[in-house]
Amino acid sequence: MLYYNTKFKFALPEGAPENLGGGIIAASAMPSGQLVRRIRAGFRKNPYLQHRLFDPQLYLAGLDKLVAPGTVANLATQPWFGKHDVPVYDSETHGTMKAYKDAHEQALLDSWRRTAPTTDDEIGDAVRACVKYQLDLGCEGILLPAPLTTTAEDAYQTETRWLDIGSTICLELRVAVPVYATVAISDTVLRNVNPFKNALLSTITSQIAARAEIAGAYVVLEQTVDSGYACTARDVLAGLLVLADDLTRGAGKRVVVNYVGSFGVVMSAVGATIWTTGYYRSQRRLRFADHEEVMALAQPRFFSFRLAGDVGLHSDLATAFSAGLGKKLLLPTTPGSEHLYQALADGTYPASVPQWEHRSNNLTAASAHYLIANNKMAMTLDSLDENERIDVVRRWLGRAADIAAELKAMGMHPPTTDCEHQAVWLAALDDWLAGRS
Amino acid sequence: MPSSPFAVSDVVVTFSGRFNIISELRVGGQGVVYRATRLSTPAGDSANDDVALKLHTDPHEDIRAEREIKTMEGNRHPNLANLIEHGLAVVAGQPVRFAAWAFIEGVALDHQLVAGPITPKIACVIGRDVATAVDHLWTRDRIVHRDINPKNIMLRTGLREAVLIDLGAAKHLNQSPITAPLLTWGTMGYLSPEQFTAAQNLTSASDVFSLGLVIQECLLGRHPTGCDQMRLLGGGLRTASICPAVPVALANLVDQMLAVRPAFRPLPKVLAVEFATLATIL
Repeated sequence: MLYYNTKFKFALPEGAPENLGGGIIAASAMPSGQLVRRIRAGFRKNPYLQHRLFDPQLYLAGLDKLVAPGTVANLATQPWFGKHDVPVYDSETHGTMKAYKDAHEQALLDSWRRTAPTTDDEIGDAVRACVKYQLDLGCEGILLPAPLTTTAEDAYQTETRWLDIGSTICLELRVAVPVYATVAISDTVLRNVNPFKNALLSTITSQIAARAEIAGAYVVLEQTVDSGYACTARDVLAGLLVLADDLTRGAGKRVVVNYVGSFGVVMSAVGATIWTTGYYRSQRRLRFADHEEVMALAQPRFFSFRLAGDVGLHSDLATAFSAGLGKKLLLPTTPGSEHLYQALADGTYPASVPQWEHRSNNLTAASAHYLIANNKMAMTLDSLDENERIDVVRRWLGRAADIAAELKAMGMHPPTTDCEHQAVWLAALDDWLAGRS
Repeated sequence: MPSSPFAVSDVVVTFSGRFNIISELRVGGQGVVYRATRLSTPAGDSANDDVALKLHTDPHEDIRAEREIKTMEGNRHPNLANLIEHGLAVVAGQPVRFAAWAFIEGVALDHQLVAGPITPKIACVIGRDVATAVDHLWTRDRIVHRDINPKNIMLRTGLREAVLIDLGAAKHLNQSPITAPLLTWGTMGYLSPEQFTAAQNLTSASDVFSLGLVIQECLLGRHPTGCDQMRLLGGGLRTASICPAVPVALANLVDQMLAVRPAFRPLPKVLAVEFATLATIL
C-alpha cells in the first residue's frame, strides 16, 4: 500500500490519485503547534490523511543548526529533541507563523543539542511526549522515536533502550493502536557486508521480533553516499530486503518503509505493508545534506514506470523517443502523460504540452504522474500473493535494467536520466532470493 | 570433570547450625552445589527446608553471581529455581558467596538422558515448561539465559514438570555487559548461531534455539551433532532427518526453533502454547 510522504504541503498535486493508502507526516514539516492546528482543521481537502502516521524524526537529531536552521527550528519545537521554554505556536497568542518564528526561532536554535536524549529519564520524557503527540493527532499507529543507527559497535543497545522504554510507556498510556519500532539506519552500516551475515541486521530484526507488543517496524534509510535519488548500493538494498523478510515472513510483523523511492515496490513484493514516497527528492530519499538551505529550483523529469526511474525532459526523453524507445518509456500512460506521448509522436513537444515543458518549478503534472504510476503498481502488488508479487517485480526490474542499458548506450546518465540503479536493484533482489531460507 | 575446591568437612564446619550438608550434587566452573537441609533462617528462626546450596567459588565471576541472585530475589516461578536465601561466608579461610535454592525433587535432564531417548510427550512437557521460563525471564526482565542445556534442566519426579536452573551465564539486556566483546558464554553444542559468533545483544530467540537442540537430544537420546557447534552455524539439522519417527507437528515446531535467522524462530510464549497442545494430544 502506498502512502504519501507528507511534508509542509498536505495537498496532493492536482491530478494525483485519490485512492492513496494514507500519509506519513514528517515532524520537520512545520512547528508542532501549526501541525496540530492543521490536523484539527480536518481532512475534507486531504482525505488521504484520514489514514495518517506521524514520523517523529528523532533520527535527525544530529542535524547541524548552522547549515539547516529551518529544519532544526521546526524540529526543536518538539519536546523529544530536548526541553526549552519556547511556547508552542498558538495563532491567537502569536499571530502569524512568521511572527512566531521571528520571535522564537533563535531560542529554538539555541536549545538544539545536536544529539538525542541519553539518560533513561530523558528518554522516558521524550518518548512520552512523542507518543501523546501522535495520539493527539489521531494517528492510526505509533511510530516510536529512535536515534539514527550509524555504527554497529554498540550492537543496537541504545536503540533497544529506546524501544523498551517506548513500549513500556505505550503500555502505561494504554495505547490501543499498533506500535512500530523506528529502524532508522544509515547505509554505511549495510555497505560491503553480506546482508545474510550482517550481525547488526540480525540483531535489529531479532530485537523487534522478540517483542510481542511491537506490531512492526518503521524503516528509514539514510542515504550517505549516492548523490542521485536512488540508492545504488547492492548490499544496502539486499539488506533492506532481508530486514523486511525477517520481520514479515519470519516474525509475522508489519513493515512500513520510507525514503527509498520506488524501491518501495521491491520492499512491498518482499512483504512490506506500507511504502511511502512522493515526487520531490526530499520525499524519495533521506539525506542530511538535503536539509541545507540552498536555493535551487526543481526541474521536472518524467517518471517512466517501465524504466523504474526518471527521464530528463530537457532533451533525453525526445531523443529516446526518436530512437524508438517511446513505447518502452511512456507506456502505459496515465491521464497526465497521454498528451505527452501524443506530443512526442506528433513532434509538437513541448509547445502543445506546457505542463510537461522543461521549466523551473513546472512540476504539477510530473508529480501527479509519478504518484499515479507508483500507486498503480502498489495496488497491483496488493492483489497478488507473495510468489506472484516477487515474480512480477523481478520481471519489471529485468525489463527496466534492459531499458536503462539502452539509454546508457545512448549516452544518457544521472542525474538527468536515471539509468544506473535498475541493474543493482535487480541484483539485490536476486541476492535476496538466492539467500532466503 | 572439575573437582570441588573445598573439602566437604570445611563446608560442613562453615554452615554448621544453619545448613546440614547432605551430599555434593555437582561441581562446575563457577562453583559447587550441595544438597542440604536449611536448619534455620538468617533471623534465627528454625527451618526445615530441602535446598540446593551453591557456593560461588570463582571470584572473577562474582558480579555474574550477584546479578543472578538479585534477579531471582522475589522472582517466583514454577519453572524456575526459587531462591530461598543468600549471603557471604568464609570456607577454609576463603570468602565465598552462597545461595540456597529450593531443592527440586527429581533428576537433571542430562542424567535422565543416560537411559536413552525420551518420549515425544515428555519432550513436549520439557519444551512447554522451559519455553514458559524463557518467556518469563525475557518479558519480565529482558534476560537471556544463554546456557540452556540438559544439565540446567531439572525434571521433577514423575517427569510431569521441568524447571530451568542456573542463571549464572545470563545476559541482562537492561544492564551493562559483563562479557567482553567478541567473547561468548554458554555450552558448546548448544549455542545459537548468533551466540556462537559472539553477538552482544541477544534475545530470547537465542534461548529458543538452544531449547530446540535440547528437544532434539531428548528425542534422539544423544546430541544431534555430537556437540559439534560448527555444524550448527547454518541452523539446526532437520528433525525428520535424524528422528524419522517423531510426529510431524512436533518435528516442524522444533525445526522452526532451529532456524538460522532469529526472527524466524517462534516466540517463547507461542512455543509454550504449542508444546502444551502437543503434550496433551501425543
